[in-house]
Amino acid sequence: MPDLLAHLRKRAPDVIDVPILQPADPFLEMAGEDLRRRIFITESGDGRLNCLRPDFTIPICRGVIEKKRTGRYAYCGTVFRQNRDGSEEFLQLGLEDIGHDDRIAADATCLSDMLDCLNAAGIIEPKITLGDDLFCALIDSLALPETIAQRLQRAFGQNERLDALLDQFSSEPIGEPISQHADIPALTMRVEVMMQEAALPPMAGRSPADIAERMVQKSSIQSFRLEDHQLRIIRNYLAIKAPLTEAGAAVRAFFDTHQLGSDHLLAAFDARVEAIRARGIRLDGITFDASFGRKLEYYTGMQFEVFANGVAIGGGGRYDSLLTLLGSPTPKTGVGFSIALDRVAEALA
Amino acid sequence: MSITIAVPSKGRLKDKTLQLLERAGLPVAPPAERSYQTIVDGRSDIEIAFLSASEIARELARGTVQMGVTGEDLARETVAKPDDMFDFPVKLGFGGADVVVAVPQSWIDVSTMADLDDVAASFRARYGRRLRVATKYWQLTQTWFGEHGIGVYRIVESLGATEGAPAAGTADAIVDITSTGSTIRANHLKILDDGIILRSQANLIVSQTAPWDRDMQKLRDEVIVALNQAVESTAP
Repeated sequence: MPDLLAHLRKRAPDVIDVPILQPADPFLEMAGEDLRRRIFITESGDGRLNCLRPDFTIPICRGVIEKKRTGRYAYCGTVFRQNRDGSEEFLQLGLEDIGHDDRIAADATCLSDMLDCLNAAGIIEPKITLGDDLFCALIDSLALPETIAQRLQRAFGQNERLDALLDQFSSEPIGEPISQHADIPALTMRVEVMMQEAALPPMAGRSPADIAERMVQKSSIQSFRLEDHQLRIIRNYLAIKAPLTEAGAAVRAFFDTHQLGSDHLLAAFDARVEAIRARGIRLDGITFDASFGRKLEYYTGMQFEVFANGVAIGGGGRYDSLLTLLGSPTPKTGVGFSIALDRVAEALA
Repeated sequence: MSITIAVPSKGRLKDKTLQLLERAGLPVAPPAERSYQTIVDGRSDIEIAFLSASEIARELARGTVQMGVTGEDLARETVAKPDDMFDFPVKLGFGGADVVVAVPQSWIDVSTMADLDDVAASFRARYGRRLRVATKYWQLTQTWFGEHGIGVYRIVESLGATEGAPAAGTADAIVDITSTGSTIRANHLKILDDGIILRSQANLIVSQTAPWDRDMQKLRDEVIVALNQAVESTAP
């Protein structure tokens, strides 16, 4: 295989050193406890948790925040994760483009950088599945109760879970009716007294006002049920799958038919398709899948996966929330891809 | 040819296990002083090893003992995929306790796992940190929370007095074992309506990782049948 890192560095010259041993906390904090079983954690003598780097994205973003230096970072190295197939380490190549404010251009460049890299590796016409968080806009425009909308949005990208929620929300009322007056001050006082009785430290966790507010909110959705036409809209949207040549028109027709608005997002979708086309990428190799997304909260916007000869060889997407979550004092955009080089070899074999 | 049954080395669990083995016609010969090894009286083919309850789960997973008596909670906590490593042929009818998710009673808006999911999802945005769950049951908690779609929270390891963690300010919620729920209530906590992770009790557990030949399988089946009968004859 050619020196792909050198190839990528021509397009992404910036460098951040990512040691193999990483503090575990940022990964657990961003990806949740679920990750703990899949990474290799070791405790240092003074009780700090370290892990073998499970990815490059989070360390690079932390480096960007620390050095206050956005840019285009290419990397190549071994990452360590216990995968379902039993493998524990694999070679990853990738690029993170951080702080590029023209999101549409950056999205298209990200795809073209990846395809260029795959071409250099000998993968000629890979298949790409592309998703977008238009689902969140669709849910917003249905004007559902906030709690319901957020539960659905959080489940986006996990199709079984989303299905189960849709079944639940459309079959029966969500819970037993609660006789609570929507009297936030009175509820707040009641919670305050309960917290004092329990000797809960007042500043340590949820505040009485938040609890009271959510109680009122919860009471208001007890008898909520998704209406048939809302359920149909959601399910039919999730079923949209089209080559990128037709996806924009299909999505726009769907939003128009159901009067879902979101014009600026649809315009951005079209502009991104045009930007991808302008970089000489074949649109019929890319399939838009309305149900494709990632479950972690830091992903936003475009997400994609890439296959060659039926083997998943890489993926990527936009993570505009990640830098803020990691402590960046100002919001910063981010988009990137990674390629599993062992899988590329497998696909070429 | 022989098999080894691991038996808890102390406490009520030990006493109850020895009584049950006796009723099953498998009385345990008293071990030599300071020894933790013995046999079933007159049966040199059934050895007994006294181990701590949590070691029993570990040794069963390693396959160094063929069978053992311990709590289902410990067995399911010790390994990531318990059903691939253990069989649970006999529930012994004692040592009952539930592994539960509990939150402060003052969280009047939280009565289900779905509520807890809502709270966990917005926790960081509101309070600048993740929801913290104190527990010694890492595996059970991760699996259960994962099944309920809760990913963003942190586990705080707690090896004792877990129910005191919310008042101590070290955690927001707990996953702990309880038999009557009274300690949980006394600490101003409440169990979620769908927050029972496991109804645990002492089990006869068979290691799937230990090598089993035909003679050992015979001994295993004999022990299972005898214990089953003993449990049924004492059931209320």
